[in-house]
Amino acid sequence: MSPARIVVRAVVVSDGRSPHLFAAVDAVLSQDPAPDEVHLALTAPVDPPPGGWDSRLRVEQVDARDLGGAVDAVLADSPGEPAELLWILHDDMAPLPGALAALTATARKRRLAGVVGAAHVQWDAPDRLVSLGTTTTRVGARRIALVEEDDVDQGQYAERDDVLAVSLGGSLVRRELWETLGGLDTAGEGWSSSLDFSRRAWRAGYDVVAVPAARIRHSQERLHARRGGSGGGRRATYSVRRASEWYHALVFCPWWAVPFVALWALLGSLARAVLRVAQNEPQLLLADLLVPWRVIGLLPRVPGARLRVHRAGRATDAERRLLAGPRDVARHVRALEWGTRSRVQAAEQPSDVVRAELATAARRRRLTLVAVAIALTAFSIALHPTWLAALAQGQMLTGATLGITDVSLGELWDRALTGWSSQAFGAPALDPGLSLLLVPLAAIPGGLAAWLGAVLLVAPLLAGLTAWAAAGAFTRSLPVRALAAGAYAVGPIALESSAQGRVAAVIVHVVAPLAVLGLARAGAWHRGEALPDGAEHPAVRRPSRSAAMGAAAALAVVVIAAPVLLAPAVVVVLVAGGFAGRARWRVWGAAIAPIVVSGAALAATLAAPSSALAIGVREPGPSATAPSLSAAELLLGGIGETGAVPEPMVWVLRTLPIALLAAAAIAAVMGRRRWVSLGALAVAAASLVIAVQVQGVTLSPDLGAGAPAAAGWYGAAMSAVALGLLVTVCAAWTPGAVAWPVAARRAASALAIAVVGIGVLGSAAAQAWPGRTALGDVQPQGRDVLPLVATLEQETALSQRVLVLDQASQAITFSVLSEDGTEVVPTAGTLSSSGVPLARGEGAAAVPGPADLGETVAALAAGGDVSLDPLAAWGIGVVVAAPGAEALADVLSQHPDLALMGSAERGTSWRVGGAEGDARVSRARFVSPQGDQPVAMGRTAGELDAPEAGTLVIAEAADERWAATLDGAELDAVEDAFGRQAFEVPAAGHVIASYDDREYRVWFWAGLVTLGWVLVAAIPVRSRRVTREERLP
Amino acid sequence: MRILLTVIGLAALLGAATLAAPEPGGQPGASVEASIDPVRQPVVCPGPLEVPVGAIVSGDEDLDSGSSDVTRETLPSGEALGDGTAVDATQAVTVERVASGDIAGLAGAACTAPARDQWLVGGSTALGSSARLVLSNPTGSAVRARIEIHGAVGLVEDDRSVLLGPGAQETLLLESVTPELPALAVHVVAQGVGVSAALQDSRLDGFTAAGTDWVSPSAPATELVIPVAGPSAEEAVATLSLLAPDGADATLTLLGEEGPLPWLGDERLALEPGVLTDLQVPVVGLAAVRIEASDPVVAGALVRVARDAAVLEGAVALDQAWTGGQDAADARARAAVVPDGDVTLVVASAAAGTFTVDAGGHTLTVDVAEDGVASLPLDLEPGTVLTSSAPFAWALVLADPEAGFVTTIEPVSTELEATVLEAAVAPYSPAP
Repeated sequence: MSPARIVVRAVVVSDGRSPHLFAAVDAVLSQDPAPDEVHLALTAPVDPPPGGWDSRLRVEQVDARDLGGAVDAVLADSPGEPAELLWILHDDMAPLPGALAALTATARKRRLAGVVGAAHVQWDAPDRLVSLGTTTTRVGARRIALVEEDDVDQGQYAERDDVLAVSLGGSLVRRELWETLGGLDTAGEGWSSSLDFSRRAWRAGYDVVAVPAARIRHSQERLHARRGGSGGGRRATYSVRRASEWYHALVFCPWWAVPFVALWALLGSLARAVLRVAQNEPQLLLADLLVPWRVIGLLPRVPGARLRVHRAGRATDAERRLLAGPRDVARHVRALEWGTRSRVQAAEQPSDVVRAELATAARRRRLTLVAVAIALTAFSIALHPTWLAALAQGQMLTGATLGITDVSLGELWDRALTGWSSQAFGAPALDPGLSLLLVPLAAIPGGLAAWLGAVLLVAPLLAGLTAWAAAGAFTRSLPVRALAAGAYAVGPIALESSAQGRVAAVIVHVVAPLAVLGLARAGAWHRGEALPDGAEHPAVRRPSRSAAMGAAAALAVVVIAAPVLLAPAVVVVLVAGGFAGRARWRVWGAAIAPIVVSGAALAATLAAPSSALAIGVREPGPSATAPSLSAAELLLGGIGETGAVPEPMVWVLRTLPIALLAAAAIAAVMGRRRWVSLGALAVAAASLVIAVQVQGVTLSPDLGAGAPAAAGWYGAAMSAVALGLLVTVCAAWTPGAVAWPVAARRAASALAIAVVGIGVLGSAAAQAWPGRTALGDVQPQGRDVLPLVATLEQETALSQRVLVLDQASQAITFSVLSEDGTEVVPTAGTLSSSGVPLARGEGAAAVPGPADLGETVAALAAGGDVSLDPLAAWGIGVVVAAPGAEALADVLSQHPDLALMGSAERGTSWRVGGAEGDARVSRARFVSPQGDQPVAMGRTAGELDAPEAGTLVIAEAADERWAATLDGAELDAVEDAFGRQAFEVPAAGHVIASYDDREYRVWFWAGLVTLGWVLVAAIPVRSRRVTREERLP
Repeated sequence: MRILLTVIGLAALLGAATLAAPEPGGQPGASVEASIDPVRQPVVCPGPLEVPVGAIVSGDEDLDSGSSDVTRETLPSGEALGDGTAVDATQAVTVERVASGDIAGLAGAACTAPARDQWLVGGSTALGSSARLVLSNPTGSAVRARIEIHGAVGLVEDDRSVLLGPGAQETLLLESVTPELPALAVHVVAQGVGVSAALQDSRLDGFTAAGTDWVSPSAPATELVIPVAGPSAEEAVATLSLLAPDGADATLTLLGEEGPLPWLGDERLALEPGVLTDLQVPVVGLAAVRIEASDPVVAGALVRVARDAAVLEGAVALDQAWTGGQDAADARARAAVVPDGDVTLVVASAAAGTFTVDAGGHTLTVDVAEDGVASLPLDLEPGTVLTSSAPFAWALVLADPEAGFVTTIEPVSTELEATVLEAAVAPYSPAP
């Protein structure tokens, strides 16, 4: 069996694209003992070296596409003993002296060793290991190298022998094994062929042995995609390698597990895609998304490969023992990730002295932050002392402007997803408005009522924290940061916004500082921690991709809440990007998200330029009229009546804005960062202009044409003004900004800090003073608004509307509700001031709304014997007299067609129409000569089996996008006297009616995906593939 | 040089800061006005007088609290509505004559159509007195009437309501609600078509009848004339009751046949909101009272006629008649039905003029002096309808001088007033 002498046939395979071919050949030829035969198999023509090929080489031109094929071709032409050893080499591998000797020694010693692998070391640094054996998981979808990358070879692996697999490059393979197994499986570009061959060798009864002493320099040309010249590094080959891993798993798993592995491959790639988004690795994201497709492309080769594995033999315990268990995988991943982290840390490690300084600064910073947070929490609660307990008891915040806030998750999501708004009697929606932003709040246990209430309650705290973070980008002085946070948090206009329930303005106030922070870090304009010697740490700040994406997310949220800020936000980003040097593209990228979330509005503006103003300044969510203020009044905080607050506090309250303006002016003059302060002042000026001018705009009447319409609110733009001023002040606050003596500088700083500090504390005390005039009407209330009998009717399949009447001083007010109270939080300002849907352009007609019922309602309330048909026509099945409106209740009770349903604390209810059967009022009806029939209707779709010809009438405003089919055939819409959507049904059959909101959904999903993307991408996860060069400035 | 940037920035901010406040945007909701013409409803006559609780039956006609000699006539006749009568006409009259007993006297009233908001000025719940409120609903649907009782200390009862089914009549003895009110005014508010209201004011002085009459509804106005506020005598003092729901400064004028008469005491009154003020009318013959006020006022006058008491020697029994104040500017068509008996038309006015009234096709005229009152004895067929739309205050005085009984009949408006209501869309969130 064992020949006296081992014959070694070296096969060097080259495609002529490695610069190391000649070095590799020389290294093989200079081995001692030398191989018995040395073949140079060329798969592409290669010019010989200047002196010609060495005579010991047998140069062969082979027709093969890969390593396996080339070796097969060589073997076909060179018969030999089955026991001879093939030394397979690639043209980027150069064995170090003694490698072959070590390999043959092992091959001689280990008779069963079918594959004897060498240790691969880096080409340029032979003391650094590249590979010394490989294993894989039990599933097989992850190749695991048995040495850590860049590990220094200190002999720590000298004892290694049996391994699951070795890299075939540089290995000795017994010829009989090669021929038994039929060569390599080179599917997936051969990335898993070594692993595949080694495992088949184990199954065929051979051993696979690694020889640490045999070292081969390996330049890994293919791994770094240097073959073929793309040079894209490891990222370029990632997708193929990953696909080959899955291919390997598919080949080696039990037959029944194939579909599961395939599914896992799909899900795994999606999960990794999310990770890539977080890592801001677009190339890898694409690569990961390509993986399932590549796996599908490899599927046809799976049966053949499985057959080869089957033929090789059954899995042995030896093979199983060598597979990596979950612990090994965990250790491997940890080593990879922590290794990267440690390397980064090691690269940035400052001196011990600096570290101690930083630790002290961090401790102080944390203490200050905690103090600021505690103070602002106390302030938030003191400002609205009744809110916290009420919210904890399950009440909701509500007010004339805010409406009800108890909107369920499903309803909110429905509103966000469908392009049909329930404003007026239904109207095409322009965009989801705030509903998209509020969905996460509604998803938390407790619901929107609790969490929106909590946001309104702790808005000063949240705004203070974000302002603290933003200020930190421009100054590291803790007192200045704390005061900036405090001044921003107690801004009187923002407090007014939350007290009045202007949700959008509150969102802008809280989120806008994050956009500033993100932009500052994205362009590396932020300051490092100040060290006592005047230096900063880190000495050089690097632009951050995650920060740019964070800015994008914050800007997108700001623009959703305040569309009027889109233009200034985009301009700011574009200008900032222009100054960002190499980081310009990532800064400019921050403009994409706000533009995409405004896509529907921009498209509507392009379609109807005359509505540009109405679309541009629309206010999603609650809006209300307010007295108009001049720019000077706004800059002074718009502080009106203060009520019973002690005079000194009022004085401080009114002085703080002046002090801040003065501080900004002084800072602008004295500061050194002129461009930053110019930008901040320009933003403040532009926002101030916007804040003043929006007050003159009439907004969408939330309840339809003829209902009250609000004026624009300056809150959001004034938040931007406040931010501009704070950035000006903070950016100027640098140690050594002025060339004064130290004592004078300190005294001036202390004075400035004391003045502003007293201003902030005094203002906070004045705002929270018990006798302070209420800034708004938001109050906690029970969550139920309408009588139970009425809400139950709303929730049936017939989705009746409810008419609520209330007695004002002389007139009566009324409202038509599809929900338990007026919901304005999810409305998106979808109508123009004249009630025309903005999504349809100015040429469209105003949508019908509750105001159209004014005469009927007035007559009903006056005791007239009016017909209730107009009410029933719009699906109003219940009339409710509000609590306290007893006179109204008396009148309604005398109407012959109203049937009393019940009288309760929340009002007295009467039924319109029949109590049961076909006489019931419903949102949709099928009208035919035989009689009416109610039709169950969802928010935007319904279906029925029409018994005969007739008319389907939907109690929603008529719109061109409503469509209906009868057994698949399009139905014609017909005019309806009330302006409802009606379809003529010419014969009996199955009728499906729905609203076509595809265009809306495209924009909705585009916005949602973009928002999700930038949110994930804003997570600061470092990719370990970021090269060292990229990490350096 | 780079400071130029700062200057530009500050200049931009300063420039923006000079912007003035724009015309505020926003628009109020459109409010829609609806005018509802009410359906003509029958007028309701309250029905028979009732002897207040504590009736005595002794067998002696003079001692009994009730009487066997009671005549009641309603013109024109109608259908029963509870104990009362619903007459399908724009006007009707009911007169009841009780010859003896606690409620001896003449009590007449114009039957009234249902109304939403009405004031009944008159009545007493002091010891010996009874105020019986009669509410009738001639309509086909139920209605709730809310009752507020005002006395000399202001509003004393505001939480009382009576639910009246279709075609139902309910009575409420106010002494059971608020006893010991020597004078009162009742505000009856009902929604929809409203209710018909009348108040039986019966008084007893020991065993002696001190007068009974129906108090008819009246409405607030800033200038009122009460056509019958006299005669007033030492033993039968006429009184005037005034109430301003929201408070008012009022000036009183006593109108005599020849013109204004001196008013003993202060003619100017400051009326507290909701407080009933009672005044004595000076001794005078035929007289009316004119009230000018800064804010709407309701008023009524009580005249009494004395006679010898049947039981006690030397004692004086009384009969009384309540007359409500009429809006001096009221130019609506008003009508009254002439009852059977000795009827006098009394007309009062601030301005001198001739009052013309249509009496079943004939025209009667009465000349009235400036700030004066005039009377015209009528000799008309009972059931004759007097109609006038002249802005004079007028009433019919029905007297039985032999028995010493008196009552007044006030005209009622025959025009239907449209109800006007404004409605506007507004958001609805829960009330605090």
